[in-house]
Parts: sequence; C-alpha cells; structure tokens
Amino acid sequence: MTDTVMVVEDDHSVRALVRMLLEDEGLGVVEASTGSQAVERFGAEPIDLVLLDLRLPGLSGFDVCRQLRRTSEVPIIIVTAQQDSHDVVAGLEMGADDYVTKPFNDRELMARVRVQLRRKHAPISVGTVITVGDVEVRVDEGRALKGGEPVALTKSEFHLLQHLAQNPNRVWSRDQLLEHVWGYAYNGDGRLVDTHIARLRAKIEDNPSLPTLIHTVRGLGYRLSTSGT
Amino acid sequence: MTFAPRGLRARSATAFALLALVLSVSLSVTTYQLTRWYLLDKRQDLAVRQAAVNALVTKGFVAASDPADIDVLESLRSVSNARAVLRIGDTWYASVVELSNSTIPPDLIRSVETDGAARQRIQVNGTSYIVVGTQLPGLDAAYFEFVPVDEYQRTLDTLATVLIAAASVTTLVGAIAGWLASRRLMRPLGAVASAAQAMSAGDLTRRLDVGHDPDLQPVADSFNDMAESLEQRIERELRFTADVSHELRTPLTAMASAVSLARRSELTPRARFAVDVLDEQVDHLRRLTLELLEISRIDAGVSELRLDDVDIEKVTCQAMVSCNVDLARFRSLLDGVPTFRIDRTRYERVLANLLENADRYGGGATCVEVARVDGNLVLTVDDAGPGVAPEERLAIFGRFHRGADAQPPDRPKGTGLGLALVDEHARMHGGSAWVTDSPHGGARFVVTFARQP
Repeated sequence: MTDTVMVVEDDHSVRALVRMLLEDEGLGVVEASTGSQAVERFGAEPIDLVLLDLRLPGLSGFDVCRQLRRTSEVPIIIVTAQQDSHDVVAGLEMGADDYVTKPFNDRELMARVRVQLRRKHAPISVGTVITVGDVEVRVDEGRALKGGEPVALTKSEFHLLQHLAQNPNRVWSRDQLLEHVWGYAYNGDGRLVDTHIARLRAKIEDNPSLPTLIHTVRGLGYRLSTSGT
Repeated sequence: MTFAPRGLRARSATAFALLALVLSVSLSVTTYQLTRWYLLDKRQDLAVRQAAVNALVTKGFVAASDPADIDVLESLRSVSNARAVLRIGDTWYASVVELSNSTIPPDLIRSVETDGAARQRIQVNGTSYIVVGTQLPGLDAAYFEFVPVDEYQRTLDTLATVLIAAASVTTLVGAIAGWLASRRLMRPLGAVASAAQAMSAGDLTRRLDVGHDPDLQPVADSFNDMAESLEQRIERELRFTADVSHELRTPLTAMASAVSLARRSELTPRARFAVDVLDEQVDHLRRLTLELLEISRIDAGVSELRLDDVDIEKVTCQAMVSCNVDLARFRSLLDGVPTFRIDRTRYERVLANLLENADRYGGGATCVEVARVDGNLVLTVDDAGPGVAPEERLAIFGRFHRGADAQPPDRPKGTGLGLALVDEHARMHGGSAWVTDSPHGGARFVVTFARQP
C-alpha cells in the first residue's frame, strides 16, 4: 500500500518539486497551499505524514499543527527557515515529530520522511505489555494506558516511551535517543529529545514538574524508573 | 587658571562647603560687628557719664584752688584715677606722662570749644581710647578723659576666635553633608548605569524603576522610552532578518530540489556541466545565507549558547569523518575525560569551518588536536599549506576577507565568513581564535573555549 504525504507549502515551485521527489520514492502526494486548505484536505483523505511549512499566509503552520493534533496522531515534520530560531521549539511543543530546515536537500528530506513512515510498518512484537507505575505500554497495539485510560500519544512520543520502557532504569543520552527514536546517526538536535520528554511527562506523569517516571540525569540524559522514585 | 574636571560628587561637596562657608562667615561677621558695636556703645555711654562726673569734680577743685601745677595734677589723679588732660587757660595738664594736649586731635578740641562737649575714638601708642572732652562751665578750662576700650577688645578677640572656629566647623560639616547628599542623589544614577550595562549586554527588556519619585520620573521615563524604541528597532531588524531569511530560503529550496531532480535524468555533457555549475552556486548561496544569518544574529545579541556536556572526542571524530579527514590525524589530550560543557552546534561549526579552511587553502588538515588547558578546551588544527603571513594573521578573521593570493583558482569560492564565525563562536564561549605557524610547516589554527559554569 502506498503511503500518502501531505505537502503544505505556499510556494508552488517548491511544492511541485517536493511532490516530484516524493513520487520518485513511490509515495503518494496531496498538496495544500494554505493552512485552511491543509486542515480541510486532512479530514477528507487518508494521510500518513504531513510535511508542514510553518510560515503560511493566513492560518499559520503552528495553528495547523495544533488543529491536526486535536484529532490525530499523524506524524508531522515541520519545515522551518531557521534552525536556531524559536520556531523549532514552538513547533515541537505543539506536537510536531521532527523538523527540517530550509533550504533542505533531497537526501535530508527523504531520510526524515522515511524514519517517520517506517514506524507505521514497524514489526509488531505480539503480546508485549510493559507496565511502569500506573502506565501500561502496549507495544503490540502501539498505544499506552494510564490508570486504565488510553493516553493520546503521537507516534514519536510512543516510540520514545517504548524505547525507554523496554530498557528501564538505564540512562540514555540525547544522542542515543536521537539515533534510536529519530534515526539521526549524528548531528541530531537535542531539543527534539527535550521537547518530546516534556510532552511525554505532561501526558503520563501525575505531576509533570516533579516527574517520578522519566528522570533527568544531569549531564547524561534521561532514565525511565520502574521503582517509581 | 584651569581645573581638572571633577566628579559630580566632589563638585557637590565643594558647593555645599562654599555655601556653608559663606553663610557662616557672614553670620559670624554680623554677630561680631553687632556685639562690638553694642559693647563700644555701652562703654561710650558709661565713659561720657563718668567723664561728666569727673569734670564736675575737677571743676570744683580747679575753682577752689590756686592754679598750682602740682595741685591740679594731684586733684586730677585723685578724682578720676583716670587718664585725663586738663586745660586751664593756655596751660595743659596731663595725669600720666604719655598723654598731652598733642595726643588730643585738634578737631576734637575745637568741637569741645564750640559745642561744649565732644567725644572721639583714637589710638595712642597702639591702645584704643574713647576721648571724652567737655568745657568746665564758668571757667576758661576744658577736661578730656581717655577711656581705654582694650579690655573689650580682648572679649571681642575671644568672640572672633570662637566665631572663626564655628565657621570652619560649619564649612566642614557642609562639605560632608554635600558628599553624603550627593551619594544619595547619585544612587539612582547607579541604577541607570546598571540598566544601561544590562542593555548593552543584550538584555533589551531591562527598564528603570525609580518608584514614585517625581524628580527622577522624567529621567526614568526618557531612559525607558529610549530602551523601548531600541528594543523595537532591534526586534524590527530581527523580524526583517527572519523574513529575508525565509524569502531567500524558499527559492533556494526550490533551486536545490530542481538541481536534485535534474540530476536524476539523463543529461548531455553540456547540460551536466550547467547543472554542476548550478549545484555549486546554489550550495554557495545556501551557505552564504546561513552564515550571514548566523553572524547577524550574533551581532544582534539574540544568539544564545545552548550548553551541554558534549563528548568532544566523539563529536570531533564525527566532524572529521564527514569532512573526509583521516582519523589517524586526530589527537586527544583530554586524559580520559572526553566531555566538556559547550554549545555543541557551535563547536561543530567551528571545527567544520577550520577543516574546510585547511582543505581549501592548506592542502588539508594534517593534525587535529583537542586538549584541556587550565580547565579550558583548546582545539588545534594544523595544515600543510604555505602558512599565513604575519601581517595577514589578524585580518583573515575579518568578514569577507580574502588573502591576496590565497584563492585557489580551480575551486568554488569560500563564503568569506567562515573564520569570522569561528572567531564569533569562540568569543561567545569566552574564548578566542588565532593563527600561527605549525612546527611542521603550514598554518596552525588555535581556538579556545572557556570552561562554563
């Protein structure tokens, strides 16, 4: 089955070129030139990945991200003009899974796209359920429950939680998490990990500012604790 | 006469001291004069009354006795116990030797003759007297009595000493008060200075708060207005930079994607050459845009250090691999502690720029070394090129500087910002960058990064 990518970009030539690059990789493409068009088309067609430019006329990329997240855990890659800017963090905090910086080249873009789509086709380890505190990670179903209630996690949030839960009480550096969860061999952005950890904590910790499950190990990285302390 | 410029506090203290001096001196002088006038006036009244009595008594003597010299003098001495001069007819008698008719001012004698009585202050041998003269009624005689006023002068001298001392103390107290008052007045200036300092260090949101002081409010208001407009201007410029960046990046993205697509098709040699040129130029433009933005963000003071404990050995090797530098050329003197607190992205850019610089102008890096010196990180990159002439060593870290003969003719141009950025990144870490000769020939670039708290 072909995966479909929605390209949200106001510049028509960039849109057309990205379409060709994605189609060359055997992916289906849906185009949207404005934010409201993106929200509209997302509801109308099955979309497996959203490539979202943040600076759009009218409804901005941030707004689109927020609206899509209300109903969907679809992978979202934001496209930003500046790596150094706060746009990246703001977009990630709104639920984006990864980002690429303009101008990107075809290899960078395709690498990011493939990592996000691969999750969808990840081999399912049947019947694996990991319990940490009152959180249940159902690896086979790709979802998590807290106190018996399902928690809405994005694909990358779930992937991060799963990775930490499968290797409990072990400290993972940002670089290691970037490699395992996002597929960055090197040169990944530590802010990806930090914002995702913050999002996870907000969803599964009783008190996100005093985390008992996901601990920060200063200078080293993060650790998921099964002892609940 | 010229004065060296003095501080506000010194000037304020001087002004207070001068004011205190003027006030206390004029008060003292007035007090002194009034006291003196009052005392002398009293003394004069007393002298006049006493002289009148003495004159009457003397008149009795003169009228009763023969005008024999001895008797008159005896009587003068017995009556007044004072210093007196008596004229009977044309004869003058003095009760003490230092007095005579010549010591009496002639106009006083005339005044006594015409008016019957007169008085005057005179000095005799350095002593002040009030001379009271009066006609003896019914006789051709006049009586002059010398009343010394020096005893009052001593009182007045003591008073003057006390007043001068008081004036000096007041002046000193004035100076101290001025110094202290100016310190209080200067305190808001200190707040202004620290706010201005914070702003120039990049904290554009800093404002002055002077409470509800109506005198300081105008200063604070105009300072805050200035800060506000400065902040807005910088924000505008940053927004402009961000907008320009976005506007440039979109066409660049389109061009880069178009080049990638074109490469996927079969191309004639001519078309392939054209695509190669396009590729090269798009890449150059992309890097120029990135580096210009980076440097303008640093200039605007909005670039932040993102510090992390970074495995320097690992990151350095990764950068070397991606720049095709043999890992055998890597040397670590970190003594088994490979982590250092640093902004990883900036460190990677510094390293990439140096490696690329070595590749472009120095025939490639021959040695990459990381070391810890006094807790700071020192990165050294040697190359095998011709080295950098001493007069060029500072200039090559300037923006868009290109050495006279350094440009390799058969290679795409550098952006001209690489080394300038190396310098800026080092500075942001409290370090520095410089170039010197490598002991193995070629150039040696050294960049330091200070230990971060």
